[in-house]
Amino acid sequence: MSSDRTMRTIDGERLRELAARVLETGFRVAVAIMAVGLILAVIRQEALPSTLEQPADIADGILQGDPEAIVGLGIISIILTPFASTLVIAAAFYRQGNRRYAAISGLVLAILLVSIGLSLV
Amino acid sequence: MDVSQFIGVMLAAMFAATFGSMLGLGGGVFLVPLLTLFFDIDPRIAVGASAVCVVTNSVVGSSVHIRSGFTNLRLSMLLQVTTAVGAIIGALIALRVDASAISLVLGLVLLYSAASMLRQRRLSPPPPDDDDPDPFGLRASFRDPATKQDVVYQPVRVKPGLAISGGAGVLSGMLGIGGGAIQVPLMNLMMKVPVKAAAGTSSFMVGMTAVATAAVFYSHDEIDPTIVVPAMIGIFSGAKLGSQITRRVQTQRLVLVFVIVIAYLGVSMVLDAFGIGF
Repeated sequence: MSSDRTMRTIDGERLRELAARVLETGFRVAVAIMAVGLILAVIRQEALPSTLEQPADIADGILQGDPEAIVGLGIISIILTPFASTLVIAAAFYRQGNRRYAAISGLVLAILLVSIGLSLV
Repeated sequence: MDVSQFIGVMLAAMFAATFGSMLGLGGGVFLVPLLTLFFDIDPRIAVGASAVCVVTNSVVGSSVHIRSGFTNLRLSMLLQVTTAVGAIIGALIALRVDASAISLVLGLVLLYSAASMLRQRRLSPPPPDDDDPDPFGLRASFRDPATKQDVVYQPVRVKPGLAISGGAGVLSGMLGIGGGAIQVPLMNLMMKVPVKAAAGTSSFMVGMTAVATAAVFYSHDEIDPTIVVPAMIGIFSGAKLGSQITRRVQTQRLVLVFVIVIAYLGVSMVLDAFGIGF
């Protein structure tokens, strides 16, 4: 029983570290992308746009090195970070053998996708 | 946007993120009024910027809370199921129900929660026995740096908690709020989760809820990078500061600040229901 509990504790710490790292990495990547966009905008003396471009325009703009599109990608990256962390947490629960919470985390992801889908309709 | 407004938005976001991250709220309840009142920003653009900022605040603050052990990831996922479903239902029925009646109910609930938390702030739930059944596998512990003691807890009344969390999600969806102001008292008062764990768990949850809100505003072209970029810079420092304060401050003081904030929100919602600005 005690060794079982010790294993759970170690796994729990690993899971927490993994979740925290995904969140940190997501934020750092988003900030780095936005910083590149802002520096390019300053160099080219371009103002930031007043609306965030749609995904297709962002993809086109990035290929052309457009600062607006690069800043937009940074903002979208931060919005997607909670998704990435939930996905990683679900996978970590599964690897822990905690299928109940792997399924619950997967369900949370599915509900989030549905709510975003409904909001975009 | 000129330099003074850029710095002003950054400082406003830093203030909102400090309190938001410290108390397990998103911070939008502070940021939206600051942006609209002091910077004359259109309310919808302010709410759109706030949604992105709540996600950012949650991402930055949660990374500290999770490492501190304050965030109960299993509890956050479990409660998020009913909260997210409730938020969808709330958003779908929002146009069919009188918003002022919902504001009144939520305001009264927040005032009741504030009074209950104030009354019980000196009480801490007894640690669970090893033999206590834990059917949902939610038992957890964290080390409180303020007291240098390990805190072991086990959330109770999980099924009613899930139901009320779903109700909180409905209110969130109807009123467009993150839900942290409801989730923290729910976890603390009803489920006997220590305040620091409730704040850490809620901080993670509000980020997931705000993703859907941010998507709505993105689809309607109401996310303005000229507001979001300086706000995100402010959020970064504020969220780190807030989550560090949660680590070090005595629980009773944290509860006191939380009570003041949700009492303010409760009063403003009740007044709003009667058409009185606050």
